[in-house]
Amino acid sequence: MPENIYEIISLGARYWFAFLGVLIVWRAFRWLRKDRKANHRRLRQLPDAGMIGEMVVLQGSDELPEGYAIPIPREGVLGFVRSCDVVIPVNGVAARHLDFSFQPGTGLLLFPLRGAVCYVDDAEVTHRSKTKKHPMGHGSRLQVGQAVLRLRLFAGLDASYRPYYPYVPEYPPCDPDQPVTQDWQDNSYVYHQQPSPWQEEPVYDQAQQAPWPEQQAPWQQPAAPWQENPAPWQQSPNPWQQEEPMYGQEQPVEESWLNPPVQQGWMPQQPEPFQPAQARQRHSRAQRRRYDEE
Amino acid sequence: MKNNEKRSLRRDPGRLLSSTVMLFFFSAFLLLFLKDYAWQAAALAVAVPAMIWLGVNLLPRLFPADKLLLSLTNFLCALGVLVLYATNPDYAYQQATYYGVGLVAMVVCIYLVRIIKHWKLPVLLLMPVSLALLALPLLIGRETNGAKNWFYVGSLSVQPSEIVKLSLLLIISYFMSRRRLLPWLIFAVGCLGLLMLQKDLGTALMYYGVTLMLFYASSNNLLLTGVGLAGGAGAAVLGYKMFAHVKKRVAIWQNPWSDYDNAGYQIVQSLMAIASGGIFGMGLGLGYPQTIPVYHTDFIFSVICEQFGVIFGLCVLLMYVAIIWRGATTAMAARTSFHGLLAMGATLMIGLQTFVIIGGVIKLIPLTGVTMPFVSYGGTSLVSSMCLVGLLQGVASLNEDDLNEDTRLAMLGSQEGMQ
Repeated sequence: MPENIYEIISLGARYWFAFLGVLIVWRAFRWLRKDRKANHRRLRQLPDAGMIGEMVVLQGSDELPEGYAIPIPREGVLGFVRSCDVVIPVNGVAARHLDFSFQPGTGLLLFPLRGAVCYVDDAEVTHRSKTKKHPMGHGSRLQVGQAVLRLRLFAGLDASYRPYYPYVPEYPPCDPDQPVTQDWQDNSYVYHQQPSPWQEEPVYDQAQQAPWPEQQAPWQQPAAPWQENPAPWQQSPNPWQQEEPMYGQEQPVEESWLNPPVQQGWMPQQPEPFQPAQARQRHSRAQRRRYDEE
Repeated sequence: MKNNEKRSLRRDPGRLLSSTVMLFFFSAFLLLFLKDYAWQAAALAVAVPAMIWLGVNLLPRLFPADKLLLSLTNFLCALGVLVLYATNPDYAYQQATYYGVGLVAMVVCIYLVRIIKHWKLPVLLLMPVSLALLALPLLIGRETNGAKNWFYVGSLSVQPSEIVKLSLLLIISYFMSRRRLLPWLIFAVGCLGLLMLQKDLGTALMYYGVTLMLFYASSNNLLLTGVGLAGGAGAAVLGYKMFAHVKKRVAIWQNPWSDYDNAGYQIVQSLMAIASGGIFGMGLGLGYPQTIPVYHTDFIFSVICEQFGVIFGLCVLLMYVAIIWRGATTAMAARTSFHGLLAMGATLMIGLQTFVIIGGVIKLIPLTGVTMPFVSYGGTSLVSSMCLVGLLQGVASLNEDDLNEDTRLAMLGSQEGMQ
């Protein structure tokens, strides 16, 4: 092609290339933004993402009270200082006590650092130990310094190891004012928090935009709370009009605030239903510590 | 296929971005074909978009790859081939070959990150091998532009510092994730010492910066990082006093016009090329990029600005920003500290290298001889940059796997909870 014609075409193509360059950058950043939003939405539905379970404190200190559950990542360092992944501020725990990593099919492997000792289900583990002989499975007890912890793994994790350590229930302290250790008994697994369903933000067309309840017609408005839960005298049959018991018939006593259940002792008869541990709230360590101090 | 599915496929950001990138290179190589009707340009007009399409659409079928990273790195690599073709086609053919090798190396790195679960043995093996490799130019290398950082195997020239930066990242990330101070410190100091002996100060600056930033990322220790920074400043002053060519470069950086036809020639030509390009450039295949010294390696950004204009140069910079952003996001989402540090290190390495060379070219900082990642001519540089992206991609794919596993566990847990 003659040079002068090529020059004209090339000069014209400059704008085309500049336009394409800007378009590429715009699309890349738009993609980044979109992915960031989608990722946040996904992580919001999976609050336990990245964790394999938790360590429940059976014996701790003032800073680490009993019953506290510490989330456990897939791998990390356990120690006293706050730069560790799992912080155990208890006497006898070294600044960096042990490394741990979860190995699928085996369990949580512990690698104590030089000079540090820990006990997994009463078996001593040091840096010289063959660590794979002492993995931690669901329900294993770990003793580090003066702290005693129990591992709870999430459901579905492939940890074939089960502790041979016979289960000895950790009885709560005799003093009722002391906090009761929330250890698991019948729950064989710790469940993840149930993921919330995918919720796309509703997009309404201008024409089909749903009006606010106040703007709707009276018969379209939702029922008021007192309409959904009518007073006892409006219920049918009326629970206040108890039938007179026959002579000799034992009157059933319903549990209410007037007739509380007879307390057999301070320990509950039924095993307590599983309560999700409070440490699942995703706070930073500093926030958790501040919370504990308060 | 339903209409909605078709519409969502059409609006898929990956598809939109890769199609724009392909259109760019098709039109650019077509324009170069019109210049002299060379069949090589026509072949590249087909081959480069096809390679991008394969890279962006085929690789994610093998593993959960990050398509955005793939698109952007492919764009930058192909931009290097394009600019080199417009200036010197011989370099472009070699660069296209290195680009293919780089893609293979990237896939290998992705698989290595995905497959290797225990990095202790590879890392322990890499340490002496890397130090030996870095010491080789001192023994059998030749001095080029004041630095002795190359050695030759037959006709092939190798820059070991480009290869060693990968092992540096692996070693530092491994030991920092294990909280072991001494091994990585000894290795990093050894590398820096060897680089100082080679007078390769640009690479030494990158190694030092990345090590320091990774230390801060792993330990969160501001005090020691500050001490390290002060030590680095002291070393810079010492380097200034010790090396004559450093003094010269600083003087030229302060006033390139004082010796514009000799020592300041590079930077003056670079600035003039950027200025003559203006906002929209002089046009592809036009202008005089060959007048810039080492236009194919260190000063390729000036050539881009001259041919495509400052706006396009800014777009290239923003693409690097997008890569860094994506890399940082990948590092933050990593499940293990090793993978997090590895991804962060790879991101920092790319980011710092880009800053050092573009800052030098536009006279923001003194010029040091490093290549522009993905774009500059050079096999070792391109392959090592692709390997860095491979490490990033490997961590990103592991993150995706972990997230899928978490979703599975959560669903399983919720099902058992409901029973």
